[in-house]
Amino acid sequence: MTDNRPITEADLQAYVDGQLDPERRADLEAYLAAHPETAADLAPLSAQNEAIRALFSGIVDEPVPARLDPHRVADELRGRRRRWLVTAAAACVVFAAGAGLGWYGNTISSRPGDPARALVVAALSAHSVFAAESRHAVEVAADEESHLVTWLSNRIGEPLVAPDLSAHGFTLVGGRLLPFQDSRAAQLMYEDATGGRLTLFITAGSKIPPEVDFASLGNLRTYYWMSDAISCAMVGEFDREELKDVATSAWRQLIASL
Amino acid sequence: MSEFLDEIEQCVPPLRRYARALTRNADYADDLVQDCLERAIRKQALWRPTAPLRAWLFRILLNIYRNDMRGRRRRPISVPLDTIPEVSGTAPAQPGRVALAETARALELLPDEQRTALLLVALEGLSYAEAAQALDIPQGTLMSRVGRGRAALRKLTEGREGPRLRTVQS
Repeated sequence: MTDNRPITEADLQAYVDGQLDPERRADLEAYLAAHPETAADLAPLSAQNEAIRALFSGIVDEPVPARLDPHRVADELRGRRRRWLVTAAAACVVFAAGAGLGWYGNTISSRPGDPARALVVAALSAHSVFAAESRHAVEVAADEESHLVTWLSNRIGEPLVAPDLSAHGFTLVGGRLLPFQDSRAAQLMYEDATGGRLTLFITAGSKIPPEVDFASLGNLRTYYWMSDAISCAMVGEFDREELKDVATSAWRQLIASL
Repeated sequence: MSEFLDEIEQCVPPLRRYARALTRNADYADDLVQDCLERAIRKQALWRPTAPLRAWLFRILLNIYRNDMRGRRRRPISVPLDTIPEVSGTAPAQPGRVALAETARALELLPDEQRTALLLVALEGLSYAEAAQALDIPQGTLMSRVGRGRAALRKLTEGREGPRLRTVQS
């Protein structure tokens, strides 16, 4: 079934580029058969397309250099991130050693464009400072949990919860508000029966691809996630699998509240 | 992730071809493709599975290329015509067929906006919709760039005006 729309310049161009649906193409072919002068006008354009393809067609048959294998590129990106996490961790050691420097540790080692690095550095730094405190470990204690959660939610700008980690043997100690980059972060602290401490560092999300990864500094380990709503890092001196379980549980509860 | 990488892998040869046609410099072209792959893998989450991956990859590559062209990193490099790759096989002989070397040289003389558009359609066979997505322009603008690129190319290779296509009644 052909239609009676006028043949336009756009149709002729689309015909040359092979972009017409079969029906319209049939219309064009009928038209060109009846108008040889238009057909003659189009021939050089088709020849042009062919010349362009002929010039560069051989490239797709060339072997692709190894550096352009996406799997390898992905591996290298992962490796690069691991390397800077080591650097980030080293920066934390320096920071923790010179505790008097206060929050400079956060700013000097976080570069713009490296949101995960900034998150991990800040979370590890905050953990090393506050998990070591006994009387002033938190700003608001767990006995005021609902006040703590409301306050932190308002400051971070997302509806947070203090995840219940009792199934993993951790109870909430409390939390505090911290500066983070040009904004704020919440730190929640948990403790197990032996006094082992775990902190959960939570910030507003960033507009970057979601990622989850693991980093460690000596005995200190962190699992972190970044999403567009919130980014978090869980830090503690626990083995990797245990930390991962607890972290996953915390993340699920946080996400469920958003 | 692996499936995503496999799909990207399929697109690497066309990306290389396009980058080579655009830059006429094999090393620079492969650098562009590598940057493009890195960016695509980092931004995987931004790709909507409903959108064609190919157009998205071309879009990333073109953004990198245009940023470069803004003078930050490199200028396009002209290469002597004798380094044009050997053409395997021959295009079908037709009246008005232009010499390949002339086409290559003429392509280099086209304004970037026409060349990027024309190559997406004529060389890579992207649909107008995909090419418009890749260049982040409306489809009508894309078609007009392709049309102008074509006319300019013909003028350059034949030393005369290309055909003026008119709206004609059937």
